[in-house]
Amino acid sequence: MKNDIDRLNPPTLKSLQFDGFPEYHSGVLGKNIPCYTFENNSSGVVKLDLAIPTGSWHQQKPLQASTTARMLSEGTKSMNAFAIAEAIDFNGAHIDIGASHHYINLSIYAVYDKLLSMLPLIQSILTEPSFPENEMKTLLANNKQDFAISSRKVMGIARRVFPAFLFGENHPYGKILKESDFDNLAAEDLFDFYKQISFQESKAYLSGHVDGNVMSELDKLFANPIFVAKESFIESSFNIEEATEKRHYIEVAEAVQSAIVFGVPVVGRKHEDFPLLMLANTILGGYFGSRLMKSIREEKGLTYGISSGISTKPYSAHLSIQTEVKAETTSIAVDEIFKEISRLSTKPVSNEELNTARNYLFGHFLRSMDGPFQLSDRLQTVHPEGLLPEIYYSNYWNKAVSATPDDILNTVRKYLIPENMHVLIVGKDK
Amino acid sequence: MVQFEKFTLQNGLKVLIHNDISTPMAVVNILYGVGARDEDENRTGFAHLFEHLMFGGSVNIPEYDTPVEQAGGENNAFTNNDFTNYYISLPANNIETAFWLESDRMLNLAFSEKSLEVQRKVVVEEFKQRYLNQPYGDAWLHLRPMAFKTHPYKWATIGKEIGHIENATMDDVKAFYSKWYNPANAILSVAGPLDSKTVLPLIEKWFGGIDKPHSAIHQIATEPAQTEKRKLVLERDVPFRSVFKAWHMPERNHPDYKVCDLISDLLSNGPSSRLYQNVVKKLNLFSSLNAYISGDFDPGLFMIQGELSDGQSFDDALKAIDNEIAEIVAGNFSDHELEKVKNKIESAFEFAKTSILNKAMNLAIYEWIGDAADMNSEVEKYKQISRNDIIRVAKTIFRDNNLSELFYEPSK
Repeated sequence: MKNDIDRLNPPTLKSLQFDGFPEYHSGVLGKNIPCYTFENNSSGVVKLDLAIPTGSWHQQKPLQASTTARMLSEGTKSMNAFAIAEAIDFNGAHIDIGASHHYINLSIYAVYDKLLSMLPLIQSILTEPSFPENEMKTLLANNKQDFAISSRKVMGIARRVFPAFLFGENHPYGKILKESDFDNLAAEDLFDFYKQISFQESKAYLSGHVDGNVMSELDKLFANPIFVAKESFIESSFNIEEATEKRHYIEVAEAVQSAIVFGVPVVGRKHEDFPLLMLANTILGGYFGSRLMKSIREEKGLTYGISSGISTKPYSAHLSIQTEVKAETTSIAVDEIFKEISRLSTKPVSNEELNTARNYLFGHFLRSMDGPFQLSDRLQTVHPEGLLPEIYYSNYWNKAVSATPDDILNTVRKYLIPENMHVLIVGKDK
Repeated sequence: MVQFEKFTLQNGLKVLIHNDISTPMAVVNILYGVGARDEDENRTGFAHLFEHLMFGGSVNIPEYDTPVEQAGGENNAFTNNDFTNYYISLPANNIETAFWLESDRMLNLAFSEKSLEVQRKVVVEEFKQRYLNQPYGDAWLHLRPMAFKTHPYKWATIGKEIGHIENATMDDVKAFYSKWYNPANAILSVAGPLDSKTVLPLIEKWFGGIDKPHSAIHQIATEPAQTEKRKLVLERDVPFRSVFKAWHMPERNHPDYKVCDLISDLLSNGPSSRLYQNVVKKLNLFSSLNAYISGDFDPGLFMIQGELSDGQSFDDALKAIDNEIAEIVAGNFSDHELEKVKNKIESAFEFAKTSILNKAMNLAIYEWIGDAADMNSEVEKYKQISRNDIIRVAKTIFRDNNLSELFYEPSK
């Protein structure tokens, strides 16, 4: 009986379905803070995210935004750094605070019945931080050492300098951080930046097991004056100054591997080509079965891994390829990457290859929406770009469903033009 | 509570099924009971290299990854000292594809010469990327042989040296496969919106006919008790001084294993922990400093590891660590503090339960360690640990003749 199975015939595959972005609750907390809730009480945990639309885009000095954000939990008028840390740890909770180009993001993870007891602490760190000088000095000194260590890694260097080629050093997206930047910040800089933060434009996201009392307590929290101030400010604008030279090289004499980064400006989520671009990226280097992975790793064994991805920001988007390769074969790898890009732009992919990449992308898409935390993250992915998830995600899926090999060919020809690609090598140019 | 059902097929394959209706996704996880500790000392890195070859095609399926991707799935694997673990995450209605793929590579591999040749190179590049091409990357390559003299934990999972990987032959590959990759040496776990009535017949269908007896046993040299402190200084082109302290500690199934875990949490789990508050923040001796346990099945290591703040001396840095340990040994910690680290354990378990991948993987690992059901009593066991347990175990572990120290001194 056991021999009856036909192992040469794979089980029939069911096609992947997307039934639209799931329903969520939107309300207003305090006077005017939107709150989006994905309630799912099948788990015992909850996540609260706060997206405050002020980031390094708005800073006057390097590290001002990220240090202000990170220092919010290092002391307030009523609690010192230890008391804050102690309260978080005793509740078995976890808090992340950080700044990106346009946002300060604060996330709290907790067992659901512990969130309530965390809210007074959250109120304190947001409304009355004291930015103690000694805590700031320690934080900056430690971050400076981390920075120095990552500057000894070929990929650490590559990731730090690469954006400057795409955006120019005067643009917030392209600014290159220097070690001395860690020495040039004072507590006053944090107070100055704190005054600039647009708390009144914040959005809140609650997901997971929502305790009944949490909403009314959050309502009180967001009624705090900092969330209702009416001050509006004008967003600065910056010019993108892409480097004219396209090939870049930083030598690291002792490197046994070189880091290679390719990058080119593309379009973002708001553009109708974006789903096609995501498919093209998947085929090129977005998954294990991609052209780059097959060629550079699985056929030639030049690397442990290679990948490509699209990064989108409110004012730009770019596609990049990253890998670390055997130093002696650096230039071979660069040539092979160019060959794969040009292969994609000269001959349409087969239907089979397109379908494999599409199914991978769809599976990844469905997994990225599996569970309340992930759904909340998906809202936070599209909100900064002014998109509505219930429209955006369905459009994305539908456009990708109907993509043809010719669509991919045209997309590659339109956006992945080899002459426009910046290529950076950190290591050896052999 | 993670509810599950357990079955054993005729060929010895253990099956664990966890039904979670809150998700449309499923995870199929297979753990093979073989790791780097089962290797020959002269052919290290083999269990891990072999893991790469498991993706090089099986007897009836030329390519492993493509069907997973066509099914909307993602897959990966890892090898450690003790076992090798493979998993696929995919839409639940395509779960049979996962069984088809996993059963075929349990049945037999394609053993392609090309795959062996390429994966040798890939693993050599992995070795360079992780261990050679970054500051402090080679720490464990030196720490292991210092702490272990006979037990196979003395070499890293990636291998003792690149040469061992470069010299692996097809005969080695075949022998390793037939010795360890058998149904009776594997645990299959499934998590997703599927009950055993649906899943078990499919597992029977694809795995039930794999008739490969398993006779290999783990022959692991025991590590003799250490009798004197060991020390090694590496002069390297690194930006800062760094120290790794390693004490021997009990095996995974020993009750004191969890006590060690809690001690490491008292020292360094979370922003309020002792090493961070006292040594990093108050004394500014380290820019980062962590305590953790290596998590091995056989007696492993209790670690304290950190990078010194620029300009600080080893003497002051070590003294500060010694003081923190002395406080634990002297019982100078509050009940509140002990309750705090237990709360953190409980919370971590709650969060782990939100992921079907975590649940499937942990069921298999707990079953391999002893019994999958132990996963559900774990938090309770941590809660029962007393302050006297902490003091007793700290006294036993933190002795100088149980310690190996590795120092990085920046070369000028």
